[in-house]
Amino acid sequence: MGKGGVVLKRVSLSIPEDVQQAPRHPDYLGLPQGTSQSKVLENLLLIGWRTVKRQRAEAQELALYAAYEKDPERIAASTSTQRMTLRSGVV
Amino acid sequence: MPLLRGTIHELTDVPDASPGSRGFAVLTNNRWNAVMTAIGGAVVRPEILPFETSYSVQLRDGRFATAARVLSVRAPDAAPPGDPSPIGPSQGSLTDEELAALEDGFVRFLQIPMLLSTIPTARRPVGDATTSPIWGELYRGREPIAGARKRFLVVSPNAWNQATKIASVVRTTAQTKADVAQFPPIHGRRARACCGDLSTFGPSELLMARRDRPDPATCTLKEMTAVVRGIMVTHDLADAARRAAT
Repeated sequence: MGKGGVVLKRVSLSIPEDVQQAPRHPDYLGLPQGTSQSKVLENLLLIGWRTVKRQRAEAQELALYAAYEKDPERIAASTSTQRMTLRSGVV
Repeated sequence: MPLLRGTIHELTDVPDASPGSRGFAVLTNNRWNAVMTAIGGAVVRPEILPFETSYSVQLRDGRFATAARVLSVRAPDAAPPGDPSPIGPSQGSLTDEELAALEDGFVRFLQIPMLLSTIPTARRPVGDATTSPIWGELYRGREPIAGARKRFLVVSPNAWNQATKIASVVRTTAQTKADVAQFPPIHGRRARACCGDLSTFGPSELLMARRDRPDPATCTLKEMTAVVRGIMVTHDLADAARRAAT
C-alpha cells in the first residue's frame, strides 16, 4: 500500500543502463539525498508517464488549433475582430 | 517567431495615446501562439478606471495590465495588407508574480470561482439587455464577417458592462465541429463558442436593439460554465483557478 491508500503494483523489470544512474541523483527529481532506489524509480516512472500524457495532449491541442486556423470564416473573423476592437476605443 | 505567453509588446498606432504608453501582455497559451495568427492578451495602460483595479495588476514600470480588456489581435507576421498588426516591439515581460496576479484578476473577471463551484452561480441578467451588454447574452457584431453579422457571447460581468458599456465577448460559429473544451457547444450543439478568440468591444460594435438580437439570445448557466472552462484552456488559467479555489 502506498501513500494515501493507493495500491501499488509490484513488477520486476530491466532497468536500462542510462536510468541506472538515477538513484544516485534523487535531487534531480526533487527528492532528498538518501532516498531509496525503489522510491526514486517509482517517481521516475510517474514523471515519465505524466510527460508522455502531457506531450500527447499538447500534440492534439496543436493539431486542433492548426485545423481551426485554416477555417476561412475564422481568418475573416480575426481580421474583423481586430478592427472592431481597435476602433471601439478599449485600448 | 511565435509570441510567448507573459511577454509584453508595444501596442502601436493607438489614437490619443503617446507612443509606447500602451502594451499588450500575451495571455493565450504557447501552443495557441505557435500555430494561430491571432493572439490573445491583456491591454497594458498608464491608467485604469477605479473599478478596474480588482481585475488588474500594476507593473514595475507603473503601468497597469488589465484583464478587463483582453484582446485578440493579429500577430505581427500574420497581418494581411491593409489591416496591420497593432503589436509592436517587445517591452519586456511580466514577472512570475505579475503574471499570476493578472491571471487572478482574469479569473475574477470571468467569475470562474462562482461558475466552477459545486453549485454554479453567477449574476444572471439584470437591467435592460438593449442598453448595455449582459453576461450570458448573445449579440450580433456591427461589422459583417464573411457576409453575415456574426454572434458574440458576452462573458464579462454585468457590473463592468453597465459601468463602461464595453464588454468581453467570444465569437460563436457553426463551422467548427471539434468536440473539445476550447469550442464548447451552445444552443443544443447548433453552434460553438470560440474561446481562444476572446476579445473586447466598445458600445458601438455590438447591435443592441431588440430587433437585431439573435434567436435564441441567451446561453444557459451550464453552457457559460463550459465557455469559461474553454477560456481556462486557451488562456492557461487552470493554475489561477486552482489558486482561487483554495
